[in-house]
Amino acid sequence: MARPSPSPMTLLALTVFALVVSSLAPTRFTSWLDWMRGPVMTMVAPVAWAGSGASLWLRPGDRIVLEADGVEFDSESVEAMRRERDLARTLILRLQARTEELESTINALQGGVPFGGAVAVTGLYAKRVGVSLDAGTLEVNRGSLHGVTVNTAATAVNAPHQLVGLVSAAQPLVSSVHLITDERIEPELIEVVIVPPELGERVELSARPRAQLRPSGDGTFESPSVGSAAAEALRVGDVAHLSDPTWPLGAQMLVVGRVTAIEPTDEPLFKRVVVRPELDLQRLRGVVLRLEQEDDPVAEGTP
Amino acid sequence: MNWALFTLLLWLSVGFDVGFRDALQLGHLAIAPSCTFVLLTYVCVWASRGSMIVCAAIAGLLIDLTSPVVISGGQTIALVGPNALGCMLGAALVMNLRAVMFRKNVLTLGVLAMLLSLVTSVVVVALLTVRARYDTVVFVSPSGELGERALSAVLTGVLGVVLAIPLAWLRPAFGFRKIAAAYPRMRH
Repeated sequence: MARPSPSPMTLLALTVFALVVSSLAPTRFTSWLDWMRGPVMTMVAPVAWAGSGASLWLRPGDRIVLEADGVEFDSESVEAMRRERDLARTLILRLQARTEELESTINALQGGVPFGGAVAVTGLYAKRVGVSLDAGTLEVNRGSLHGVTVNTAATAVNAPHQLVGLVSAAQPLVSSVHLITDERIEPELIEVVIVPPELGERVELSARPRAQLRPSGDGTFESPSVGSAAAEALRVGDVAHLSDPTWPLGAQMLVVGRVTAIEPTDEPLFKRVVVRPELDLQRLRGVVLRLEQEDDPVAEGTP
Repeated sequence: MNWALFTLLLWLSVGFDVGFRDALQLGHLAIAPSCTFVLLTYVCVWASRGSMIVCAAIAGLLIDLTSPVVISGGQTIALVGPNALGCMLGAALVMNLRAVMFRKNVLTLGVLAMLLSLVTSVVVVALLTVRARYDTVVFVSPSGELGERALSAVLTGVLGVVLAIPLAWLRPAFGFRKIAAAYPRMRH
């Protein structure tokens, strides 16, 4: 005898029950449902990509222009030269940081501390597919099948020195890049070393002011407690480079932003420093994902 | 109801929300209209009860899967359920309200889309607030989140008014069955 099929009301009740359970059950029990996101995003990606292009055409990302630069971005050649300059400076600072790290490693080896290897970085271009406003992420069209893993650093495609964020989810063909300007980024505090924008004599990174930046929610960062003595060495237009051991090695010395304000606080011993990324990170046409390969201690890829 | 047309429009609207929604964003806040809510409201206004609930569950599920949430550790995952439940509850609200609305008026779709979006927002924020108390979901400010979502609902209503005319053209293609009048016919 055939079993009677469940009534629509029974199906509805079962559906609601299942949805309530999956909504409220702890993540360790429901995280397996995340696999469905990959196929859905892959199916939606063609339409989203077209919409994303239209979105960027309607509202292109703006770039901050600082008087300290003394350069107006009125032509593509000037823009390209500036990009090359910023890239070169990032590379130089990375090498300097590496030199200082090796010097300290030599000291540590003399004390018996095991040697930590460097990483080689390979750039992988990923187009923007869309944005998740609720999660503060940028969706891009490269995923785990292309070697992308969670916590891979991402830089802007038209400004390879500018840090954009970290990969927070890697599906087979798409990934989510959590923007550094989102308040929920982890690590919550981003430690930076702030250097002048000019390419001059060797900058002693260990002597430069450091600050812990926190995303303020409006696309900028702020550090409410920079010591007045350190703040004296800063000026508007200085560049904040990531120098935070809790972040991936491939992201070190990338640009977080530029100092746009140094303001007094209620505490006379501290000043508030505001840093803003050079680009509107949400409105990028694509990102470069910095894939790390740890087994090559010598090679040094794109900065 | 023409399910193929609904599937096609849902695919386009979810893609629109993922790719284009930020073009209509207000400042740096997560305030922007949703095309999917407008489409769902339109279906809820004209479709039968059974079709409407199924459409709401599917649309909500797709919104859940394309709107990840942040969990501690900096990762993002898709939470299946909150938007699907919210959409189903919102659809039930629209089902009750459509009997007293002028369904062919362009403002009707806007008002109902705003209400559906608002109900969904309340459900999502409530569920995430509860879950954030014992789980790794990062949900900092429920009131701020609800405020942003409420303003998004208002913008969704505006988008609903704009899309009411093109969606009205598609009504014959949808093949909605005539819905029985909610009230008995008046006899004079």
